[in-house]
Amino acid sequence: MKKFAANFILSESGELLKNGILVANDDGTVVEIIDTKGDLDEMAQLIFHNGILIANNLYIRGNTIIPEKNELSQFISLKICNSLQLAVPELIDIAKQTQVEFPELAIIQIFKAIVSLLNAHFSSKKKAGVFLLIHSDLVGLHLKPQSRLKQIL
Amino acid sequence: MKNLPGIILVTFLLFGLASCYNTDIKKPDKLIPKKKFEKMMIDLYIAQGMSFDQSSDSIRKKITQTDLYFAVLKKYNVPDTVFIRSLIYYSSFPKDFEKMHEQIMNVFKEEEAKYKPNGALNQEKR
Repeated sequence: MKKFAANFILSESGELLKNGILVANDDGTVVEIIDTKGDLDEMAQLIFHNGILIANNLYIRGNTIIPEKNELSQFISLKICNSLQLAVPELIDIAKQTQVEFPELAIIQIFKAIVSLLNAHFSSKKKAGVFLLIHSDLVGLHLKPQSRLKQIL
Repeated sequence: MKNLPGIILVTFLLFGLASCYNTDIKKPDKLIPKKKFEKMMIDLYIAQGMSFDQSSDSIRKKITQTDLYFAVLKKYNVPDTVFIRSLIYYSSFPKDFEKMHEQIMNVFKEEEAKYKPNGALNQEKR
């Protein structure tokens, strides 16, 4: 078992969990995501990373994407409407493009909109691996052009 | 992925209908001018109608609809995101958007008419 903590962890529902803990098997399969409510206590063999931890999931298209009413969802819908499946790196690319187009939005709003569309139209398949999103603005919570994914497990 | 322009065109038509209830779309900073947007749509429709699957040319067989979609964007030097935001913006005005669609269809009808057999010419031959 490996335990990782980071400034934020992206949950399955698209929430950003502050100082959350991610527990994974040695093969990289995520077993549990713990919401510490921002209060991270010392724990044996816990490795802390600066950034946002994201579990490796593959999203497989289930049904047709129905047009959304708000501009943000429309934008993301059009970005994903041609994809039969999406992996985490592709989703981060879409999130970065969305941030450029909607600079006033925080990461949490962008991720929530993406995950909400994915949950509605795609089925997720857990895959081994954990990503760390680095070089983002973790104070203002914005993605930056230099934000990138690093696979840590 | 093969039918990308088709998917986008159908989706944006649906957006047009859905946006009958939507009035809060902000004008994008980099909005494609209407005329240029229309020209792009015409090219996208043409790309949608192209089929290289039956082509004997092995290079042509490898060309997908996605490639054609991005080729159209490249031709007009417009990034994907700018096109999408313009599409969302224009489709938020259903009446204008319908007019634009009619104009595009008229262009195709005119083109089609050029290649239709001329009636007078046919009569002469008889």
